Amino acid sequence: MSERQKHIRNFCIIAHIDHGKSTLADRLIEATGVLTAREMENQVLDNMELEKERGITIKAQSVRMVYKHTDGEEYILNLIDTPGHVDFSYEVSRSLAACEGAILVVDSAQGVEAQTLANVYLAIDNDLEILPVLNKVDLPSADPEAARTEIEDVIGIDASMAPCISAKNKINIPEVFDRIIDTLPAPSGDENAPLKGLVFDSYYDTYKGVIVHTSIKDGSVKAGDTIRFMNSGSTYQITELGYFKPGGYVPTKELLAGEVGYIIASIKNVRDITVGDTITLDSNPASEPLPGYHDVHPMVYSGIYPLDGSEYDELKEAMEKLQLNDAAFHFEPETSAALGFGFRCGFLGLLHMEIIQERLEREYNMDIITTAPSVIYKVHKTDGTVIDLDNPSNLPPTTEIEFMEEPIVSASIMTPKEYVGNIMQLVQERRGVYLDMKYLDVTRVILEYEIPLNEIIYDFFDSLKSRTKGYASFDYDLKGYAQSDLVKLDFYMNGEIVDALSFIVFRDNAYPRARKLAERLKDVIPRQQFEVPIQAYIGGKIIARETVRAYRKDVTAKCYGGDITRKKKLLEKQKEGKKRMRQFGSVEIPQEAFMEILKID
Amino acid sequence: MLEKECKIKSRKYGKLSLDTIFVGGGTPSLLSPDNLRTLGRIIHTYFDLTNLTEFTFESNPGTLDAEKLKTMREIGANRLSMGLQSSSDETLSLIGRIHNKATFEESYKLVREAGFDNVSVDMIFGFPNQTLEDVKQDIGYLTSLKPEHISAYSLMIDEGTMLEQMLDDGKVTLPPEDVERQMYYAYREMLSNAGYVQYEISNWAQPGRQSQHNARYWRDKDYIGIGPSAHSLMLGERFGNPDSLDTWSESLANDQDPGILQEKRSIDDHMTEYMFTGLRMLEGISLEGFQSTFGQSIDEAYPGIVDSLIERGLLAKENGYIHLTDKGLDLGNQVFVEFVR
Repeated sequence: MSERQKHIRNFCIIAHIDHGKSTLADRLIEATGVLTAREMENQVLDNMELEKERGITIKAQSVRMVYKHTDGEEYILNLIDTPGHVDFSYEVSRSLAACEGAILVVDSAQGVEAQTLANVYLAIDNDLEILPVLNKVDLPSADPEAARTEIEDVIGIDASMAPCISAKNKINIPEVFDRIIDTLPAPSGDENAPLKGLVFDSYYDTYKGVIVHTSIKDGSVKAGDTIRFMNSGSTYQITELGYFKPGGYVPTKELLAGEVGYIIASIKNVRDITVGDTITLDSNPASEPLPGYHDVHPMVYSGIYPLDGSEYDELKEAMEKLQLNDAAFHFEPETSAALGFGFRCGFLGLLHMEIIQERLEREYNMDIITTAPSVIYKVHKTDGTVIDLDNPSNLPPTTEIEFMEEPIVSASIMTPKEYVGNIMQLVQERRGVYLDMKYLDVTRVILEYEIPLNEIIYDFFDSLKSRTKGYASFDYDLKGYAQSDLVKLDFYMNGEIVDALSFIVFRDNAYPRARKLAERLKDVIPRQQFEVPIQAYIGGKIIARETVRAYRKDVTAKCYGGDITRKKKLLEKQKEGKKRMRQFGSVEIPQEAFMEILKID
Repeated sequence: MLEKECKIKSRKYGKLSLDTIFVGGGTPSLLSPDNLRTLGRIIHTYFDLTNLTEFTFESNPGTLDAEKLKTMREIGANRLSMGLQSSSDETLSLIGRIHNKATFEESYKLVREAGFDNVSVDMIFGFPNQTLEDVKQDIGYLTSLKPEHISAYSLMIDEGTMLEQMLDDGKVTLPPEDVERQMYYAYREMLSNAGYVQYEISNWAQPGRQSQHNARYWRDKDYIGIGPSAHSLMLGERFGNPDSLDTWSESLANDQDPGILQEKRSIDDHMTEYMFTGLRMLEGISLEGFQSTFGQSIDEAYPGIVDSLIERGLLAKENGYIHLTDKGLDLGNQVFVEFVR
């Protein structure tokens, strides 16, 4: 290992939501003086508006710090931020592969959570050294010793040396630095070997094009070099490269093995860069790429359509840009009889879907309609073929179907023991099969289940939270497929099918769900000039029916001089409301109607 | 204070020539004869009344007497608007009115005796617990009374009123929507049979007795409002005086126009207002009038809108006008919203 690499540490931080990951990151950045106090904004790394609001990390960010150790030497610390939600385990795995170590932040009042556990295992799988840190030790309810024992019992790693800190109140932060340098391994790449750079993220910049984030595993690379992406085969000349600073970039001459940085190479085509690809030099290529990332497949699909059909091209452009910063997001064009031209999109989970939706609306100012989410069903047809069905509208007629299979996940739910009854009831309602229950300590248990994925993509997470006062945490993995008695539920408005509302459901749940949804639709669909019947069908049979009554009266009786301005404002508001609706034949359906599908509980 | 405002306004706009005057807002019939004479003097001093055709006083039954009515006539009033609302004493007390049918009748008689040959009666329908029969009785009473003009408004529940509270508490219930509409249809049918012509969503008149004053609001004409909470439309600018008497008087005490500019109308605003006020009139909007006001046709300004509303059965086009259909009268807002720009 070179002397230079001995002074580098590449690490990430793993923590449950609210356990203080972003705050700790801020403290580290602050302590190394990368930013002046004035530049220091709270939680520097979570720089997306949405992330700040939800208190979660969606996009991994990175920052390079220089720290003077007690041995008198300067060390370069590359902190690679990781997302914190179960939906984003793929992004976590990308970030992890770029590091040699991970700080595990555990709230000393709350202990280890299910999500943390999943990420820690992912880190251990990636051969990362884990450095446990006990946060929030200054809280009255803190019990660092219990948390320490729990880390050792539940995760099985030594926590005896774990620093007791408060990121918020700046207690013991230097100890964290010392432990990073003393216990986390330095990178050990071969500087003279052919270049191997791991693409762990990429951003799109309007002026510079694609900015590739890379961790150099072997060799070196400098501006002017022609690089090749080994999987895609495309080549580019580097125009600029350098290191990260919070919210920006610092150009440098070259990047060497063990370093983490960015590369700009006038890459215009967003599809040429896939996260997980290996960068090498065109003139002296590596013989084989780095062991790849796990190839991640979307778990949840739904259609996204522009509210105003003429904005299709803008929507497409927005999605292309989003995809560049979010490799897990997939989309392809599709057509709906009800909604016209739009896209079938693949997401890691429901939160991921919500985030994409919100980003399209907020960052790209798009008005969109999202259709009922679906998982991928395997449809075994009578002719012996099997289709992977991601859009319920494409379900073949029942006469052509031999049987169907649905995806099943292994779920673990960690909860204080008093909520076990509530959880068992919820999971039973969602067709879950109980496997096991383990006590973590005297107060907390971990429940293991198998649950059909289509039962958790809707509001499972919300229901779990509300039935456990927010205490339960939840994680799942795709286990496989199982045969199931499934039917397609269709909704007709005013006699016309609205294909965007169709979804596939377990037969026994179809009736209650159809009835509930028809009622909800009745409430969210505004009264119109005509009576609008809402009918739920399975096959040719109506199983639920509601009617939106026609309005008989919508007129202001009095409108004299002083009323005109106010009246105009009301009409303008009414017009704005109409814009949020989509016309289906003679019926206007608001955006919210499509969201009602998501709520079961 | 009123005089002060007239003085300030006349400095801004000069001595305005008025076609119509409406003294309303609250109960001006509470004014004493002396107050009325002062009011008359102010009006005659600051405005040119050579073209005045309609001068209305709003009044509440029970607040009138022969002397006040005589004074109103003396200062030039030629029309009286009286709020009856309902001919049922039970309903009147439910909505907290101080008058009953008998006091109204008495006042009405005094008004006629004072020589007012142009009287308007205000009605409301759709009150809690009111039946279609009740409303038909109201209308029957009106047609026997034969006022020259009738306004009948569908009940609006204002926020913060006692009525709203009673409805929220479930103490009273409103008639179902279709019954409420039948009440409206009863007005339309029975008043038409009695020789009245409906000329606006909520207004009827004997031939030639339409209110010239109200039509100004709907026909996009300028108007000037004096007093707290009064509104004006002057030269494309809308002003609203403060609702609070104190704020209003304070401005005047500082020799300032209390009017707060609400908007300087853009062409779009103008067009929107032109359409939704004009369409309130049953005559509708003249295609030619629109063209000459805005230099483009309605179809150019609102491509496809008129046709789609005709298709929906809410609008009709005939003799160079577009106007609300019978169904359009029930769903006016659905029509108006299409003309918002």
